[in-house]
Amino acid sequence: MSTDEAQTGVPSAAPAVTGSPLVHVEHLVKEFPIRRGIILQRQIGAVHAVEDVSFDIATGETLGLVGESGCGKSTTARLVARLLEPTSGTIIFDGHDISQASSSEMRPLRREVQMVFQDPYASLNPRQSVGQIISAPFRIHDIEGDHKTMVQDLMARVGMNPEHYNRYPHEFSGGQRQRIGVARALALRPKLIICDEPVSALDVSIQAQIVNLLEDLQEEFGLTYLFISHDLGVVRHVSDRVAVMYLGRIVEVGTSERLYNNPRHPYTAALLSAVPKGHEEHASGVDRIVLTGDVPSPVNPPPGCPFHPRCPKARLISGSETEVPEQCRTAVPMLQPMGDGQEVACWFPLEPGEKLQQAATA
Amino acid sequence: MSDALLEVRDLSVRFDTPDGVVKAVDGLSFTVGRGESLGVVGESGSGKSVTFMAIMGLLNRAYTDIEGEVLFKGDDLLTLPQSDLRAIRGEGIGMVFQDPMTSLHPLYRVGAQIVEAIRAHREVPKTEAWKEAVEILRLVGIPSPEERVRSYPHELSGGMRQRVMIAMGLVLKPDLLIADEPTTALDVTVQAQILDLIEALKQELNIGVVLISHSLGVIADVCQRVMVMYAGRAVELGSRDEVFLNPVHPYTWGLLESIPQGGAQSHRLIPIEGSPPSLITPPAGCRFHPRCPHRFEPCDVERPALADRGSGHLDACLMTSEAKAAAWAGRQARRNAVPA
Amino acid sequence: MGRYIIRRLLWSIVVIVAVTLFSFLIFYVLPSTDPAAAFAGKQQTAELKAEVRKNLGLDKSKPVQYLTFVKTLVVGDKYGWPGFNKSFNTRDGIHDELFRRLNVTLQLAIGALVIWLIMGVLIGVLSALKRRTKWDRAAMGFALLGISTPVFFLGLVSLFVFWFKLKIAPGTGFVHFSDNPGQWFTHLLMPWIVLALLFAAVYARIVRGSMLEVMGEDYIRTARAKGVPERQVITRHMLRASITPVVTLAGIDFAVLLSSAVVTESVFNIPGMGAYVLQAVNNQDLGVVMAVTVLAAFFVTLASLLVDILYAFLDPRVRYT
Repeated sequence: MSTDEAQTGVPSAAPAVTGSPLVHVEHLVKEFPIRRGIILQRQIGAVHAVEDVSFDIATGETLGLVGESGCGKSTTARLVARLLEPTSGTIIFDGHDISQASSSEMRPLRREVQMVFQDPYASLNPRQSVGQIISAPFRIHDIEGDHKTMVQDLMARVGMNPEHYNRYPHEFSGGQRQRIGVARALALRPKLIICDEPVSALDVSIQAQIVNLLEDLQEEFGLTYLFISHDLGVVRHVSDRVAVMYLGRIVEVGTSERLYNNPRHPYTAALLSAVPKGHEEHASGVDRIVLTGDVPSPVNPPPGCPFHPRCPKARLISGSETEVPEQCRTAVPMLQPMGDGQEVACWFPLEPGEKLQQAATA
Repeated sequence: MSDALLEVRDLSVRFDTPDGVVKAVDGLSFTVGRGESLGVVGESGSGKSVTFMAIMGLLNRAYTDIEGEVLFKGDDLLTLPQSDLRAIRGEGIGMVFQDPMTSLHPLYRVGAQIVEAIRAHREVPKTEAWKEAVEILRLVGIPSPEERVRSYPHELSGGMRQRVMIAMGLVLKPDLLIADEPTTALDVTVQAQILDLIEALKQELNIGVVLISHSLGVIADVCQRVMVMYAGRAVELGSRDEVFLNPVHPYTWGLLESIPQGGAQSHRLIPIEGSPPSLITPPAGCRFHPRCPHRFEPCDVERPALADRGSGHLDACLMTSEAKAAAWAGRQARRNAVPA
Repeated sequence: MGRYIIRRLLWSIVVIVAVTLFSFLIFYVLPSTDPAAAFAGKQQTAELKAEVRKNLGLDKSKPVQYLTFVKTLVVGDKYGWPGFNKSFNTRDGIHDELFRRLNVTLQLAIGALVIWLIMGVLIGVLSALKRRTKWDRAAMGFALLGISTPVFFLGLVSLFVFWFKLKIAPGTGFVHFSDNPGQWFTHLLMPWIVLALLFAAVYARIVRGSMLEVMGEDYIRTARAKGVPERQVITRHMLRASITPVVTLAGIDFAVLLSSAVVTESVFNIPGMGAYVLQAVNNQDLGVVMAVTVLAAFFVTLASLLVDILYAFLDPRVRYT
């Protein structure tokens, strides 16, 4: 028993196999059917939220997941937490295959995976006190011990005043509510915490406080994070590795440094260039690449590479505004290793040092 | 050289609430010229949105107390009769809001909403107005505007809805456009499109633009001048480069240190201690002093005025220029020394 | 949109069929009393009863009876279309009398509908705009009164005050429009108001709530920022957005009103459908009770269908379901 366990009474499970990743996801697919019909509802299509996603998360690392609306990052998070059942594919958590696990099979594993949500105003039950919210996991999993002391201990660890045990969510600010969410997630000493846009709804200076808190807790408790955000700056800061998603697929994976300094996928490059950096001291003078058109809908993904309708590089190669190379149009690129852990799903990845150029605007 | 379109002098806004009087804006002064973009940066409670709602006369006067002067092309908006103010809204000053899904009426076609804006100010037959609506949609980059003009808001994507909002704000060719968090609800790549659009329109129509945001990145990318607000007051005001590369107010320093920066080394974020103050009982003297690591004797007594330290770069802090330079240098050194 | 309407239409038909089935079960299958005995009357002999059974088709099996019932309904009988057969009381066709009565009830109901909508919307809107002032409190007080006062009480009190004491209102009873338009109006005025008051009160509260919700919406702020005159903001923006739920509720309430104006008709002695069915229940006139039940259910289903379609017109977001 670790000292932590002695204090809290929450047993920490040993990993099934040391050295293997905590989370292993392979060819994960999730489709939501669309039904239409007058009398009988027939399936006429589907929302392809997640299409063939594979990745690993090593114990103790932070994997960042970025992408825009409709890319499937939130769905992926919920699949890893088994809040959704995959249409197909494999999810292995801590050596256990949970892809098709029933709810009773999942029950003991639920203690190991927790989530922190985006909206600190909506994710806390307004009718429960802070104490009740944070101690709920103890009650659900029949943990013995003095719950009140355990809760207050948690509150102190996340930087809150333990005396506020009996207060209600509406009496706290957004940042404090998010701390409550973190405390709740931490209660059972999980192995993996999935953070779904945990700081997006907070003011900038409060974001920094929560980010620091998450980093400190990771070090103290040996946590593994899956960190989802649309804020590329924050993701870069907290993540060891980052995966970029587009239309339900991972288009690039690599360490933060590599990805941000040397993106190989045209979408990654465009995404990074779109992030406003005027306030940064080291802003490079690269012109912003502005992608035309809207973020696509996952209902009717295009054939071949999902990005080809908007890809500036494809247009550059074919030399035309409207044509793209046939490969891009017909074949789906798989993730290929580029060295140093970086993987790209592209037929014509950017060369090291190559800057993405804006296609000539019409 | 830009002539001042909007000149705000000593603006104060107070709300009467059951919990007390909220002093949302306190003695604010700034100008906006034609052909320039002023960025207004602040967090929640800074008063940035309230300021412009007050300027546009969109606050309920029943429980709001507004003082000061707001000169728009020479006229004081705060003393104008309601009918004149209404005429300026839309035609003299256009406004774009944050969330285009809730800011557009869900039950009317977007064309009808633009036409309504036109006909609220000018005697124009409906067919004429609809044609103008199509043209303004084309100007803001909406493809197939002749068809899109008949769409309902929920049939359009987020980026297109925001373009519609911008079109509606500009259709009457106002002299000033106020954009309140225009990109916060949008994806990053769409955000880039919208910011480029605003900049292009500003140049093409030669108007003044006020861009309100809590994102320093957005402001820095688009605006020439920046005003940083905290707890209802302006704490720093200057050109974009001055404010971001050579900031002189402890709050601005704190903001910049809270944000993950690019660059080779990923520094640990240094958040600002504490939380924003109550606006009902704000701190005496400088409203930032309880959270300021550099506070000294007079800070809790004397209110620092927004003063020019010589170069046109204004700040509201009692430290001397030398003290500031030293403090800033110290902070930068500390930050570079702290590993991630 | 078309698909939406067709689907609602098909469901309505299903509902009406279900209603006929359940009515049949309730009145002809479940009860222990023999309908034939009820029809035959007080002095019945065995032969009379047997003959009655044959005439009413009660000697056939239950499913056949049901199908005959439905067929008569859909195709009509010698008394008219739809076919409601005979009244147990008068031994004569129900059809003509029923539709005469329906006509009268419609006149009562439509008048009440107009009054209640106008009153309800006006009071609700003013209440919302002048929230928390004495106008608002007075309006909501009125609403509380209207909801709490039973119709019969209100009816009797108004008769007492306006007819008996003040002698300005005509008495009870119904005058046909063709006979004397002026008296038709004056005789219906009090019943209209009494009936409308309850609904007006409820709708004032609903409209007020709806308006208050809409008033805080972002698109109202946008409208003002565009420079739209305040009056237009209230009508074209606020009212338009708050009225959709109200309209749909009103459709259904009207149908319910139509089917249950019993009390008002009793108090004011108006020969409508409500009075008709009340009489029939007292006399155990199964034929009439069945007919009115099916007709009433039909109206409610029809109203529900129309209201769903209307909603899709009013709110474009609904058309995709």
